Amino acid sequence: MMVAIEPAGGGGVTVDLPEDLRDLLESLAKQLTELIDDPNAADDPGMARLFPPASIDDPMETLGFEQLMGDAIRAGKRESASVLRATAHHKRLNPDETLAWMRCLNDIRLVIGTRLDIEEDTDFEAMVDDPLLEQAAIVYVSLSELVGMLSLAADPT
Amino acid sequence: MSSAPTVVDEPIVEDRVEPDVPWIVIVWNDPINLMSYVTWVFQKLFGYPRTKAEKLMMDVHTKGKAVVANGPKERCEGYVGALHGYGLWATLQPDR
Repeated sequence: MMVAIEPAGGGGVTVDLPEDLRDLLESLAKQLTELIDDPNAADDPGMARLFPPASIDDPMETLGFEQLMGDAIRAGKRESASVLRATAHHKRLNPDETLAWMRCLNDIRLVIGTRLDIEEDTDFEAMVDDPLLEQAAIVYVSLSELVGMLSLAADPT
Repeated sequence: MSSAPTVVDEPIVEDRVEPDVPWIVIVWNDPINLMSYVTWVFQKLFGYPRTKAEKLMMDVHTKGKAVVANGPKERCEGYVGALHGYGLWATLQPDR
């Protein structure tokens, strides 16, 4: 798979990705939006990872935070997914689009990684030998590679 | 369809601590977020230089958590909201 992400002028990046991978990213961003907007997904462990409690030991604090910030956090994740879907086939991303790609691809990693039960010492070699996990594990590893490359290429200042 | 509540109550604010007690923002280690991504987020969100962002990231990675910001509760809530937006596992608490 030929993949290259390089810094571009003005804080953006150039992305050299195969078209089928771009199609996949577009589709995954759509699925993420559907998950976020699914009223029956509240018990999905991936959703719990996307929207973690804001307090480690105070449920009232967590509830207050959810009332204060929950809508804005959900809107931000929808917006990043929307930008990724709109720019999935672009060769060059401006800083805002780069940021949206990083946030959305990382959110997708969180959902897939949680469903795969990823741990610090997860053996991906063994996982891709498991037919049931193979496809998700390959996608997860590809997304990790992309987020890592974006983190190196994008200017955080 | 949104999972947002249909009745919007006033945010629950329980000031069981003195208003001027500072709060802290903690980022917890997790097995999914990449070290390079976490460092980038600390630089982007807090404006920390790369060396400081990397040290905080390593603290999260090796010690399991790190205090990444502090200040008034409202500011800390904003930071936690932003960190959740980036997919990091962040919490806030009074600094006691």
